Amino acid sequence: MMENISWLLDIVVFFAVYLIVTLALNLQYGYTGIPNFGLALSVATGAYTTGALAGRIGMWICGIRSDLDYIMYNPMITSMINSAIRYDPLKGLTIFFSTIIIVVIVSAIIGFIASYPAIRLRADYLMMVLIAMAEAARIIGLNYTPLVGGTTWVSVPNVFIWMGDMASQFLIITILAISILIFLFMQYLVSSPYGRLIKAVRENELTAECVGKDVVKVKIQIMMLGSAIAGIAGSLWSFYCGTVLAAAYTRTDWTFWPWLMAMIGGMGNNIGALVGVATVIICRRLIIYYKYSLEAYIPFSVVWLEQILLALALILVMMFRPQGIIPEKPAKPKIKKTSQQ
Amino acid sequence: MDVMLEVKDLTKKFGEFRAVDNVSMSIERGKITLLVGPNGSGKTTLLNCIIGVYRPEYGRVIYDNIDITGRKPHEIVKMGLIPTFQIPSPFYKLTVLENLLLAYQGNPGESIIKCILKNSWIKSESEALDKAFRILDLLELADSYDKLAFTLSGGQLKLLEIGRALMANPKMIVMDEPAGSVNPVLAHRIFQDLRKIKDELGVTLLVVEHRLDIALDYVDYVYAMHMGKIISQGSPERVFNDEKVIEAYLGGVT
Ligand SMILES: Nc1ncnc2c1ncn2[C@@H]1O[C@H](COP(=O)(O)OP(=O)(O)O)[C@@H](O)[C@H]1O
Ligand SMILES: [Mg+2]
Repeated sequence: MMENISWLLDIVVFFAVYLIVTLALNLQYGYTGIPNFGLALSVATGAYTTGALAGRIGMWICGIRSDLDYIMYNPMITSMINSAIRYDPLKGLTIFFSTIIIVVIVSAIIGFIASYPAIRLRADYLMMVLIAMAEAARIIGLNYTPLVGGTTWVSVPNVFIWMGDMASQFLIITILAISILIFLFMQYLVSSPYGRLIKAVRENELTAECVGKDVVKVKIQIMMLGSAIAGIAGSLWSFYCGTVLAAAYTRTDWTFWPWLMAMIGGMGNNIGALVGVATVIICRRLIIYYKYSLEAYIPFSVVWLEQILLALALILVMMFRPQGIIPEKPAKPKIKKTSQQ
Repeated sequence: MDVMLEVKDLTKKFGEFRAVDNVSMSIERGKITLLVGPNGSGKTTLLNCIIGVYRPEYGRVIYDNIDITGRKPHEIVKMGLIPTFQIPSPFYKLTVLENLLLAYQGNPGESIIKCILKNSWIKSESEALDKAFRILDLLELADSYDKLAFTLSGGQLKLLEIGRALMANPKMIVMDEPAGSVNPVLAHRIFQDLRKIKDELGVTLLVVEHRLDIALDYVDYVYAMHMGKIISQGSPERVFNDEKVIEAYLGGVT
């Protein structure tokens, strides 16, 4: 029974974190037409910032000797912080929320820097620059040890440790709540005039310019907002894992999976993103669960089954339903009736 | 003469080819000025230089006494100089209504911050809606307001181009073949509409058309262009009877 629940909770975290990343991608590509193939950059920024700062903020808040080397004494420092906040929810929450606020700011700035050189160019050039930036971030994470320990990991304080046995469940509920809030925020944003504006930029940049819209400014804003949101996902994921390992922020996990989810669900609509995330996660779990019972029937190692089936799913979606499970719907004017009277 | 737009010694080159070659023109405020010329004479390129899509190699564009040479289209549009395109370029996957609403200027809801505060933009949005439906009525597009733009016919798309320009608080509209590639009946209707719009709103119009006969009755002044140069200018009668213009058209046929 307990085991089933923790299995379920694990899926919930997965769902919540990937929902946030996919919503960020959907904002950038689905609504605004910026093909961000460097999505992993923002997730990594969020994770690395959390790894580098949550503990350091904790040291400062809990008054731990600041001459200790953060990376070398990391396990010790983390357990000192954890014991300092065991009976002090305020300190725990302060570490959690101040880290996330800093993550939002840092990710937005990195999103700006990464896209600035190419944001005026054609989408395919921007795409290549973003891929390169994401790879660069991972290489920096792996080699610049003061950040998150390079090839070893740093641990992240257990900011809900004051909840006792329920700490991890409480963290999961918080993560889910944040993802729902972000979903609602996105829905609100895209149904406002600003949402119409970003779709116009996607549809035709020149026409958007010629009705007085500053296209470059809008694209920079969306790169920054999307990066900030994806950064939050990286941060939440780090709090959940309790560690940050630089090598884990690969393009497969944090660029290609979200692209697959967004495309299967349907680009340019947030409900589609939600359905896509749920579909892919459930399929992955089922494949992982059942693949060894199929071992006798398939001619290759079952290890690859997951990747092969999902790639196949993507190809089928592209061939037979390129608009995804839930296609974009035209907007209805909300106040038409009143205004016509 | 009260000049709304002045083009001075403008040259635009593609490589070594001068698509617009040392062109000067003065457009009078509150009038409809026509720019004619056979295909390939450089009319579209000239308009693109005026509205900031291209940056000319030489020369200046003065709009309402302000030098706008080299400014970006969105800055120029905010000053009230609005373009429409030869090939209709709507936001295809948005509705006709949304296409118009996007051309409305100064909606606070289009700011990334203010869009969150519905109170800050709801008034502006409903003004934009009123204006959009008035324009749709005028252009007889009201029935199609919730259709996606790509489902419209060619003629309707031409009207939508005009509607978008009207939405944007124009002081002056530069129109690239607003009646191009539509049948003569609709073409005449479009020019009648333009005349009506000009009289009602007091806007200045610079209109491109490559057929000589269609626009004759509706315009106040004409420039004729050929191979990147202005070859004739004056009243419609004068320009359309000018030997050089007739020759340019006949030459274009062979
Ligand atoms: N982007 C471009 N690159 C190279 N040549 C161009 C370009 N645009 C137009 N031209 C050339 O410039 C000339 C003028 O074209 P254009 O301005 O479209 O003429 P018009 O609108 O009068 O038919 C044509 O010979 C055309 O081939
Ligand atoms: Mg042309």
